[in-house]
Amino acid sequence: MSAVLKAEGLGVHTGDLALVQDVTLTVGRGERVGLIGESGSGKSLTALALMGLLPEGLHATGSVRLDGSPADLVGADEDELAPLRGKRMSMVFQEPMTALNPTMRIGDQVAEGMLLHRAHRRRAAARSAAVELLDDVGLPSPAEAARAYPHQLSGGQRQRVVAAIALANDPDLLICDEPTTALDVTVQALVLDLITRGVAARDAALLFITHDLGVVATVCDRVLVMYGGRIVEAGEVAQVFTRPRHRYTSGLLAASDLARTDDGRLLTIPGSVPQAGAFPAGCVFRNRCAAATSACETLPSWVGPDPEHGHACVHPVEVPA
Amino acid sequence: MRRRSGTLVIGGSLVAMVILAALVSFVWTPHDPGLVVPQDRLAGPSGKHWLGADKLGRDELSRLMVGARTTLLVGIVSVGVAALIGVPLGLVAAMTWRWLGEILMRVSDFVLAFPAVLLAIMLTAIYGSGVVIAMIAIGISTIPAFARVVRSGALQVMSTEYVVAARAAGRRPVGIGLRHVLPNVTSLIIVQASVSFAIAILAEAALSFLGLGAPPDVPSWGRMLQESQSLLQQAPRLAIVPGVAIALAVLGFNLLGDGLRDLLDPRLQQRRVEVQR
Ligand SMILES: Nc1ncnc2c1ncn2[C@@H]1O[C@H](COP(=O)(O)OP(=O)(O)OP(=O)(O)O)[C@@H](O)[C@H]1O
Ligand code: SF4
Ligand SMILES: [Mg+2]
Repeated sequence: MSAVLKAEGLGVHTGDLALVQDVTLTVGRGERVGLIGESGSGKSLTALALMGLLPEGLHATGSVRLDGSPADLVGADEDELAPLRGKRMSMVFQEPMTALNPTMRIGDQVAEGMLLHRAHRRRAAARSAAVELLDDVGLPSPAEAARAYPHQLSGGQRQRVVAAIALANDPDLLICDEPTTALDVTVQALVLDLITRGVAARDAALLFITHDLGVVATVCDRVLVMYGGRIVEAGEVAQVFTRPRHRYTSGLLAASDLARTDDGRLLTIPGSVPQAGAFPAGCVFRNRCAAATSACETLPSWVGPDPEHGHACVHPVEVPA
Repeated sequence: MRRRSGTLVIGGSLVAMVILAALVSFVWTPHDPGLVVPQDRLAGPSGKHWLGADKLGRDELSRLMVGARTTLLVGIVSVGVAALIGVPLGLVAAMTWRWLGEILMRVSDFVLAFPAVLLAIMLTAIYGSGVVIAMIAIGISTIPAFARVVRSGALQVMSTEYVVAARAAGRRPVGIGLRHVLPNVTSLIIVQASVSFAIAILAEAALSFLGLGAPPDVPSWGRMLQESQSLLQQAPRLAIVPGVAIALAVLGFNLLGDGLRDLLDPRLQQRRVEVQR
């Protein structure tokens, strides 16, 4: 399996404050990788850094490589990034209410992406392709929807449109940042299904960010657990969810109690996520961890065969033999 | 809600009246606005002269109607030119390098410090008086209003998720500016145009009053006001007629601007982008 996306030592900084540190991850063709963690863990910043879309004032370090593109995306300029975005890599955002331009017709917004990347040269052709795509993502009466403005659609319909835009040029990598968090539970399943089908049909790589461990369990093959701007544990979903090693992961699982899934929100781990930059030195979870000792005051090293499998905990949860 | 749409209706009606008067004056006025009739000198309102006649016996209503043309022409040209220059400047200030935006805003502060009238006096000293000079002076001093409003609006649009999404879809900065930012600040531009129009009317009147605007043979409200000055005791009506016309036109464009703001984009109130008065 070739890696579509490979990030090494990715960091996000503002001034000398580190918001994300030393993130190493790969996503292969056809692979679906989850990125989980509490609010404020740095998931969105990681996603934006991968796309080269960090807001002004934030800077990325490390390296991000997209299969087939020689340049390192970290430090690349807009001229290098624009042809990749929406073509090789694209993104679905959390808030379907604000991710669409309120003054542009739906069809034009979908067609825009195809025209930009020359999938179609003529506006009319792109428009009819857009209608097809809207049909594809399950919008009822797609021709009508193409003529509508965003405010005329429901949240679920809008998220389908956003997904259609993201999939329009058959990207190799799709990044979804909590794509269903803002939606009704009933609509969530439909949008999830559309994303997984869309990705599967294109044999694309999927990086899926969510709070919802249940969603990760159904959608993803592998999972990365993020806390305090660092990846604290990684592995196959089945492995990590049944036999977590890092104390943060086990806390997360206990708090969510997958068997008793309620509204999908994380229940509490003792204490709260510190402000950015206020995480303790050494293990970032140290101040909330019941098992912490003085050994945790130095940064735990990664224990595992590769960056995709393992954990960074000095006193990992014992695995029952 | 009711009160707001009232603003729009009243503002729209006043503006429509001015436009109508100007348009009708091309095909019909009660009298020839330039016709001097000695025996009608300072005549009061009557069946012949609805609003009376001035010190040369020229019909006030006719002059008022033709004067509306001057008012609108100066307003349209100066506000139009200001928008054509100010809107791109505002976009550039918001979307390119921060330092360039800062420089542009400091320059606009500098321009704002010069009232249109002062600028017109300076320009007149160099190029002589005339309608064109008035339009240039008013236009230049109106550019900052557009640049500022568009800049602050564009900065807000730039921080929205759909602009990030457009970048994620591969849009480049120029495309983002034209396809995403500009359409979302159009309502701001329209509102600003309406308010700037009101200011332009006042400025034009002031310039004509000072003799820096339209030449004597072109009827204009400001000049009518000026000519009434020496007769304030005898015929205050001659000052009141153009004065009320100016006040109503200014009020009309201001109300229209406020009404349009509420109509076009209720979110503007939350977005707190203030038009520049
Ligand atoms: N532009 C910024 N400048 C400074 N700090 C920021 C900026 N954006 C985010 N942060 C901080 O970085 C940390 C990580 O933010 P991020 O949005 O990546 O979290 P997240 O894991 O996506 O959380 P959520 O689940 O709430 O979306 C937070 O503490 C946040 O306050
Ligand atoms: S390294 Fe120490 S503090 Fe961190 S999770 Fe493990 S036991 Fe807890
Ligand atoms: Mg987030």
